[in-house]
Amino acid sequence: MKMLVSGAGDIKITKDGNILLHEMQIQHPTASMIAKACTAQDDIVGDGTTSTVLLIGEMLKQADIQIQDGLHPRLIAEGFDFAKVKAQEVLDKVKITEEMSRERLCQVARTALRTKVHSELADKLTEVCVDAVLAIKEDQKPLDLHMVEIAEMQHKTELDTQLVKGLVLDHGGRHPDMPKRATNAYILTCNVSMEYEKTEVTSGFFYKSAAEREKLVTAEREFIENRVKKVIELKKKVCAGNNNMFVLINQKGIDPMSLDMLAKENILGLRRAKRRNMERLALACGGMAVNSFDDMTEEVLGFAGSVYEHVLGETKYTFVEELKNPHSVTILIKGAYKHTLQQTKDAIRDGLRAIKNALDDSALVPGAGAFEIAAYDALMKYESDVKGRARYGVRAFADALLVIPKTLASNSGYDPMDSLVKLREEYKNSGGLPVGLDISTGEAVNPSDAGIFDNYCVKRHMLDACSVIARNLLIVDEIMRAGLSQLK
Amino acid sequence: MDMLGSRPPAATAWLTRQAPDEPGPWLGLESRLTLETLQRYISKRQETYTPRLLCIDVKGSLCSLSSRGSLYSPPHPEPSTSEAAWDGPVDLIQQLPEVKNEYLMDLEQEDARFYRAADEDKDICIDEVPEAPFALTQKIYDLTKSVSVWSDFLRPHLHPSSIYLLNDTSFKTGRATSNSDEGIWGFPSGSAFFQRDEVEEEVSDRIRLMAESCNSLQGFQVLSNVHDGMGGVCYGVLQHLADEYGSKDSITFATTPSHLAPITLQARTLMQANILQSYTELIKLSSVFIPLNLRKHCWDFQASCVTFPNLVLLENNAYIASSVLAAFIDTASLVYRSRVSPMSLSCVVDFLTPARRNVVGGSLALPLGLSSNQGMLEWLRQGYKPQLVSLSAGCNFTVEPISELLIIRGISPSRLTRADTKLPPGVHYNSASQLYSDFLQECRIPPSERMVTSVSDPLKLSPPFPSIISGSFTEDGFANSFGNVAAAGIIKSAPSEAGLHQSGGMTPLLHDLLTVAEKLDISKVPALLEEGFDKDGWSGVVEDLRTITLNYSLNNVDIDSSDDS
Repeated sequence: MKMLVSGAGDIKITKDGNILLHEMQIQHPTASMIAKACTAQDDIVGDGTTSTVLLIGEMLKQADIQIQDGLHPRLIAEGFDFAKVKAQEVLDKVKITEEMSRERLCQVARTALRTKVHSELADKLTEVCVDAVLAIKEDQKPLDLHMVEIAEMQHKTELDTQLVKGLVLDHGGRHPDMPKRATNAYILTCNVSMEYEKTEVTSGFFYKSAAEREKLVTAEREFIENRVKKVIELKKKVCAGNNNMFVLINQKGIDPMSLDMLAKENILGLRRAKRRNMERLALACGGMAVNSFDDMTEEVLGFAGSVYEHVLGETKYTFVEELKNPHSVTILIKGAYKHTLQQTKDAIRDGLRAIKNALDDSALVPGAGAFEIAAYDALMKYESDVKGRARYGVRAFADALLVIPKTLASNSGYDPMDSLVKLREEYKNSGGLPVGLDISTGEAVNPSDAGIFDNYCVKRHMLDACSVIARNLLIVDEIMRAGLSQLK
Repeated sequence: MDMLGSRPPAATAWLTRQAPDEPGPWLGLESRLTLETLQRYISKRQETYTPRLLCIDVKGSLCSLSSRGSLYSPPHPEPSTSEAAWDGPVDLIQQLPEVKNEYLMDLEQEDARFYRAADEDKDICIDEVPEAPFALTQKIYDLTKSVSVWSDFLRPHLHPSSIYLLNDTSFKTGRATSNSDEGIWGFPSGSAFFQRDEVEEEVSDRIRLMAESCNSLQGFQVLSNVHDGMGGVCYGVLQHLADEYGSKDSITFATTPSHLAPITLQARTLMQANILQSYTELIKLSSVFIPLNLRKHCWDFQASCVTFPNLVLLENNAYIASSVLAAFIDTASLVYRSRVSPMSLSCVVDFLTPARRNVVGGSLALPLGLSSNQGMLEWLRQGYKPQLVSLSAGCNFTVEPISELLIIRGISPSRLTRADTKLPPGVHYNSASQLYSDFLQECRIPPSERMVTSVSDPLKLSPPFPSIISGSFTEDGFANSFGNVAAAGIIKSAPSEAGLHQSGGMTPLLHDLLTVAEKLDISKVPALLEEGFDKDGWSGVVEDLRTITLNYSLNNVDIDSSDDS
């Protein structure tokens, strides 16, 4: 874990390879190629960035040894290609395809999260992330992680991070008389301006007397007032005869006079809602967002058991909770400092991605270096099948893969070579069962039993990205810099 | 970029009191890259911290300023690794603190005193900080050399959500060509960058939160550098504003730094292309577009700078140049943000933009030149006039004037006339605006459509405003006739005038732009291609620019004939 403090005192805590790379000022073209590969990895699958960097570095190192021995880079590159195909075959063999149960999802999320935050928090976040994804998951529909809203509150500690089965909006009612809490509330989401607008064309405002001016002003106002009245009408209709409340959530503005009218009717009115929240609200509470107040019926209304306001410093939060069947939920991150909030947020993002990946692939790969050991073994056997000098490239690739278990071992305080020997020994005797490193004991362990899983697509993409970049870098024989100023 | 809504007593107080600091965040001096977007709203009730400002800058150009602003956090809490949510070892990697200049050190000391005094209530709003103690306003700083970025002379504390850093280095790394050395990135990269999900979401969210807290949002004031990719970012922001807040106006001040003179041809072309495209796109999207440039030509980087009768300007110093532009913006924007008789933004916009002409020239007179024992009426009658100097790339706003807005500040009612002046019966002047507009009308100086506003607060010139006024002036900026020169040359404030002009003077500027745009062959300049300019896009730009220019020609033949020649 690194804690970066800038000259101005800004703090950043991270362990994510991609973020760290972006914090560095990279000048060298090779390094920037690797950084880009890493960014691509992060964009596409959301994890495995550090492994990517490690692997590319190690592949180049292994290749360098071969080149010193006089092997042509192109042959190594060719070997890498063979090896990559083979490694992906191995990957397909070791992957565990099964229906993703909640338990499995927890395991894969936990594996991802434990590398980002301390274990107590990781366990907490695992539950939160898995429940969030399961809540928004609908059969036969692609999973849209945007439907998990992530809200931040600088309050309490990171362990108070929780899943809200509903929505948390980062604004509140702007009128002192509006209700702060609504139970059994109808929710109207809309995108209609309820504030005084200037006219579309340039216009003047001419009047002869004060009374005439008054009249003109009222006429202008009336347009907006009619809109507000329509909402009030609907409220009166649906709330007649019961104790239900009414909440209006508008994507556009609501001016003080309209707010006042709403407050008199005991309607909670929220203005300038986030565009994306309009979509989420419809999913969470039911109903649909309206773009005009004409011909509104009860069907467009959503319903929430409880809507309440929470004020924290200068920010107001509005919680929309107790929903019947929310398809959109909110993860409410708490933390004492801005940088811990950020750290938790990054972790949650990775956790959600890991779960999504697992669901999309419906497959998992045993973690803890098990895949790399298996692939190494397979590649060493495969080496002899490869004709010509390209086999040295295959070997280099195989050796490079071992950097993952080695790093795991050394990061946990064990001797890398020692652990490697143990793992390979164990793998030979296991008869094809995956063998990974138990970082608490330094012994071999079956990752499936220990519940350590990685995403299939992360590994697959990593193999792809690494071999392509390494290959490209290898066959570059000279770097030429263009530009006049360089020639000075 | 910067903007406003309606006006709140408290918020404007903040603005006026802090006036001299405005140069800072507004203009963003440029060393590496600059401040681009400020957003300011003013609301009737001060429910959130005002000014509502969103400032977008490139990462790494804040120097000693924390990206979280300094409003709520006492400076530099000692970082501790225990804050990391991690049970393994944590590496603490700490950069050396940035070196602060003399001015910032003094500010810091002042803050430290304040924090000690208000130890119990840390959340106190900085609005309540006692007025700067004597020492600070009396002292003269020479910051011309030590200032490299805008945060080096920033006085107000910024709200934690004010600053948004473009948190990516992708436009800096991996560039092999020469333009990367001069740190210029292109308009297309800027707008592409803004379109990235996380950037757009975060920026629009912050704007939304500020808009949410406004009771009657009038519009947005946008301030942006347009010579580099920030023009593209600004374009993205304006597009968002047009999309989400369609009925609100936006006033865009587009600055091009006068101190930058790229050496290589490639960099120069890139900068020109940026300026051209930014102008075109921003004119299309803003209600009023005000180009600001101290040079007399908008893309000739060697052209001479405009000169003010009583100001000493170092041409190549960004800090000084920005202070002049800031003085202009601070004065000109008074028309819609002053506490007394403000015009609504939509009135200003309608007034300045007849017949789809929305490029407006700006001008400034600083100091006014009125002497300390004269009344304004006498002064005008003696044939003097505020000497407005054009700040819009040397546009001559007296050509075919159509409408103009003049803002005079710093003339208190007692200074309008001398006690012994005899006014015609029934005539009584309460404000400088009344007097001045009557005078101008009497003299039949065009244009006939004119609005004059006055504010009695002068432009404050205390630090960090550089001491650029030369000649003998009193402490409050009046020309001195008796020899009571300001002690040690400190001029604390000065009356000034700013003008916004809609005139035929903008036509040559647009014509020039169009000619250059037509001549530029994108496909022949690798630097442009690398930055994402493409031929089709460019012909679109030229086409748009032609349409804009058409609004300015008296008859369309103008354009055709220039094409033939």
